[in-house]
Amino acid sequence: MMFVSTAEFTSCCGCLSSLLEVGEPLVSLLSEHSVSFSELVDFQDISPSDVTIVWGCIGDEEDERIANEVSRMSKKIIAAGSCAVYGGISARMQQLPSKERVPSSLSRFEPVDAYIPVDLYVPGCPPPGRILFEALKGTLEDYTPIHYDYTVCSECKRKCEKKHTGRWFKRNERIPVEGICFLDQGFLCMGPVTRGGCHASCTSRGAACIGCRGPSDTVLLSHLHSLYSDMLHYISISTTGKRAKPEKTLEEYIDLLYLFTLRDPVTKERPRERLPRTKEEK
Amino acid sequence: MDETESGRTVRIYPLTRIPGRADIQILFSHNEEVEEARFRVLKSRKLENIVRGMPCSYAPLILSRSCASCGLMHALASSIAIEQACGVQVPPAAKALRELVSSLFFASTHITNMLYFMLPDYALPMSDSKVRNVFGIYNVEPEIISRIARVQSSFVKAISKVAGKSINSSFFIPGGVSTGVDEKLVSDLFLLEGLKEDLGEILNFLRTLLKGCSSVMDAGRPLRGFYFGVTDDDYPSFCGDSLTFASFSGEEKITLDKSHFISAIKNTQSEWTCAESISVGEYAPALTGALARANLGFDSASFAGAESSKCFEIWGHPFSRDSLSILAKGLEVIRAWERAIEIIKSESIVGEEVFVPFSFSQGTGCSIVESPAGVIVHEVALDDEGFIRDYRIATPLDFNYQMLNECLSNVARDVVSGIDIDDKESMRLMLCVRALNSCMV
Ligand code: SF4
Ligand code: SF4
Ligand code: SF4
Repeated sequence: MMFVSTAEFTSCCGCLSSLLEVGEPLVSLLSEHSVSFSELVDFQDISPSDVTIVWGCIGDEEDERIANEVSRMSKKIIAAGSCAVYGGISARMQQLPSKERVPSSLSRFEPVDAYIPVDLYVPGCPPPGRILFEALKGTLEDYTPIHYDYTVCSECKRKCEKKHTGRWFKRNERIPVEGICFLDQGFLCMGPVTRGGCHASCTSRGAACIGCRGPSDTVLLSHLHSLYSDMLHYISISTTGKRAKPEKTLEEYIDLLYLFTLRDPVTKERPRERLPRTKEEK
Repeated sequence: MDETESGRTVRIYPLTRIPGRADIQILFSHNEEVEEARFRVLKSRKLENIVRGMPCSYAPLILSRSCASCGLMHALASSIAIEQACGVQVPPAAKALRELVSSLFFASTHITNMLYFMLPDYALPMSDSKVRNVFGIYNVEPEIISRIARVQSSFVKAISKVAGKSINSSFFIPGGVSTGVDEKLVSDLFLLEGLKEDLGEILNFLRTLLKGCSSVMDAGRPLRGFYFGVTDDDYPSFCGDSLTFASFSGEEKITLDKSHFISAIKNTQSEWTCAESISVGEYAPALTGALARANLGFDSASFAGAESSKCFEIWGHPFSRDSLSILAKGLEVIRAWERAIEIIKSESIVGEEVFVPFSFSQGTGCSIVESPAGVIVHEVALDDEGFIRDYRIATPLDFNYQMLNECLSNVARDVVSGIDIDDKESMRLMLCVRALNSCMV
């Protein structure tokens, strides 16, 4: 029997909900072990644990205190969700003047590994429950969970048939054709630069990928390790063939491109990726 | 514990079996009697602050991440507010699919909430805190936990089939929904029909539990004031045309149209929490959420209507105890399931137009929709290129703050016997928070 825990920092609780959606396999797994501390049980005092899953970014001093305590008490830490892995949606708060942050004590919005060492990263907003569950089970049972080193495009069933050479469209302007790649139709889709594993769940239901699983290994290991550069490169070689147009398009979409990521685990020691700019700065 | 001139304050922190970070403060007089109990939200991200200056099409994507328990409904509220600002009418099939996915989302969220957070209070009220959780129940009654988890999983699968992701989906977009449904998908959804027996059994299980839990059920005083919800033809609805208020003392219902409701809203910044407290005109305190909607009632010809009549026969109408909230959620799961089946059976969702292209225009929009936790309001102001000039959100917690603190104070007066608050006392106080406010983010 092992000791398992969960801890929450600044989050929307979507990662927790995603894990809970696993249902009986989760309840059955955790019943075989002992839960040391968690929002699922009536004891949250941080105590020794073999594995702790954490979600949310580090948003304030209390998060930092809990993170340090969790790190001291836990043998292994799984960072679950793009907030914990990259800072996520909340990290955009960094760009707000402090008076607009609520409450004002929320001031950091950093990924968890900016404060404590992390053993396993499971990005996604939220990560699919089955991936989170496998990460937990693998850590408890000492096997390596699947590493999703391919992109969303690899899982996407939309066909890439023709090259888009015309203008770019916003989603409100027209109805995308079913079954054809969004990029080919002139809609921005982040599938080529985003980590797979989600079964391309958005593109399979008519919505372009917004990159919630964070950068793919190719992006993280590339020369510039930048979503922007890799997306630009992909669009240049696969669509218009000219750099000027896609560059202009991506400038418009820069907020969307960096919705979930401000930095990443592999490139942490390197210079930060380009940050999105507000409308005023453009 | 803090000591001040007026008395002592004891803090219960962290709160457990509820998502988010909050505490309860109990204020004691010098002779150690409870004066007041306060629920304090310690963290609220207010994501609406980051969408200002962004293209409005990002708002539903970002704001659905405000809170997972109501995420999809924030995406819907945001889409509707933007549609209103731009003068867009969405096609009927898009409305039906929005309602279908919302119904499934309500059912799935309530079940998750009941299973993992609320059930232990009723199933293991006298047990040690170490086993008072879903795993503890699973060890003694695995069948019922398996049954509830199976139902939850059916709803989650159904949402994913239609909307792609079950949490933070990009399915609801300004102009309609991201894609339609074909016959194959609809025939897969018909599997949901088989849940009827499970849903009936779960409700029976809840009724039996509640009957045997007098220590939990009788604490505090009956709720006073009002309950309210979004309604269509007097029945609760996800985005109906009006709001209906009714009083716990049983007076006539009052229906307000949306503009009257908005103009009656008053915000009060609380000095002890980062959340805002909102009251609606003279209807204060007023409760929104599952308990309020169950009290407003379901069509008596429906399965949910028949089941709620059985419950009202036992516990009276309206439900006026916080502890009945779990039953209200159980009834709402049934209603949501029923509504989903009605929509699946309607011919008009297959192969229909579900999105209308439109141009952004300068304007303001406001939407009021129900979420699992209660009424949410989104207000947006756009510039002529569709960038967001201003965005405001009112959440169920903002509306419920007053009622929750009143109820919490009454429960504290009833169950807390001194400044050394024991496990059973704090459990009962947390039950009150779980019941009247299902999340704190
Ligand atoms: S990663 Fe997404 S789902 Fe998870 S806590 Fe952050 S915002 Fe919520
Ligand atoms: S770019 Fe998007 S739509 Fe095209 S194949 Fe990749 S994931 Fe699919
Ligand atoms: S398709 Fe993209 S946005 Fe959708 S779940 Fe997958 S990674 Fe996230």
